[in-house]
Amino acid sequence: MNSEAISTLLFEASTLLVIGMTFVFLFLTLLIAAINLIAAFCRKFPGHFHTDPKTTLPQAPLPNTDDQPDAKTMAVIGAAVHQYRKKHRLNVKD
Amino acid sequence: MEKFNVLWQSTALAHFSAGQLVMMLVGLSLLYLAIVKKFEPLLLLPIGFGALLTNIPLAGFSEAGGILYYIYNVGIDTGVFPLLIFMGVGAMTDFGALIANPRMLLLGAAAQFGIFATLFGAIALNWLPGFSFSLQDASAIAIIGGADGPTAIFLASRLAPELLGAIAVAAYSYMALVPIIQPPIMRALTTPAEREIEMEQLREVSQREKIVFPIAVLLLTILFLPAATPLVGMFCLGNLMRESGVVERLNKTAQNELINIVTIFLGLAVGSKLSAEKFLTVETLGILALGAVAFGIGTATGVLMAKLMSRLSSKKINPLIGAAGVSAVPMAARVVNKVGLEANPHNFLLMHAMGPNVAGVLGSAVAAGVLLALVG
Repeated sequence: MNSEAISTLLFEASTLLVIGMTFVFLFLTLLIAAINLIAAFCRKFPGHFHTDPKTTLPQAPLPNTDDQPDAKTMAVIGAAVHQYRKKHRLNVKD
Repeated sequence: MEKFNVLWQSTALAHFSAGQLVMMLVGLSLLYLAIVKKFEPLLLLPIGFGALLTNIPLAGFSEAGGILYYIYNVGIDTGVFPLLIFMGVGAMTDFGALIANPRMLLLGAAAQFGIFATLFGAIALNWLPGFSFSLQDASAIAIIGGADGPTAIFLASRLAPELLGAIAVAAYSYMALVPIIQPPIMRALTTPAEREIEMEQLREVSQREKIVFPIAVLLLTILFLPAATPLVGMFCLGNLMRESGVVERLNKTAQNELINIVTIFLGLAVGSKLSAEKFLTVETLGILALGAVAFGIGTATGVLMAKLMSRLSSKKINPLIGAAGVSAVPMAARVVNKVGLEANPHNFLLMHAMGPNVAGVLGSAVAAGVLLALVG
């Protein structure tokens, strides 16, 4: 390759360097603005739909101190047993 | 006697050329690096084995009709395999650290300087006898500095398919060498006081932000750099599958089974390009040298940019995290963490380094898009 051709290529390479780096910086700066916008939007409208399972999980009830299950747990167990019996009527003699 | 001659001619022994033997040794040394040294074994093992297979005389693995020929044409010539890998990488990437501290994108951008500086260096090599790199060749070589295997393979398959073997081997070897190449540069460019800087804890990022993020990235790419949409689009698809939480099965497949299957074929196809006439050239040596330079420059500019940001910003920034801007996820971030711990045993930089690390992936995809648009 003659030196004239190399000089031309070198010039093209330096143009690429300047244009390429400028573009990469501009693009990613734009992306920074976009992320900040998204974050601001999410702060302003903190969501009717909370899809994050960690935040939607209801607070776990405090554990009972005595051995007897509380009224609510009894009601839930009762309902579950009732449901089960209804579904499996054929197998259960009552 | 004639029968004996026919039998002899049908053995490989009669047909081995010196070049094939050397390339088989190259393949064996890649296998050694993968198995004994544990350098990027997921890729170097199939690449090394592919190199063995493609250099078998008479078997014709890489000629029309051979299996490696078809794997290469189906997967790499078309650009399908690197893009599928990119989707899997997207599904594995958590952008939380970046969304929490978006300015880290500037570090990912700065580290791409390694790519463009190497482009310059590759053209300058033409002064030496034996080198004749076109602008396309130089661009494909320079992308090694992006420290991103699939991006390098994608760009090389578009711009300089005949150099693909050397470029892929260089890219993956240097990614494995990140823990050796980066720390001296990082230490040389920072003072012990700077390395000890502790950074504020990152805020928590809501799932909504994480879902909108890949869509926003894709929209920006569509608007400003359509040439990068194959890479960025597949990456964002993988990431959306991960963050949306509604397609857990697809997400699991993309980041496990699919990427594993494609990795096997990608490695074999790259190995099939390690034939003597294409690899045993002075240009390969040039590519290996340029790859190391690209990595070094990228690391250095990342660290320098982080130093600049830490001077200008009110929040404390440890300049070490700039080194993670050269993608190579998650190896570069781990190296940052390690060097940080050496300076200050209570300073865990891993999460802070993940921001510039994933920013580097986006940065090198954008740089690849720029090169495709301007040179391709």
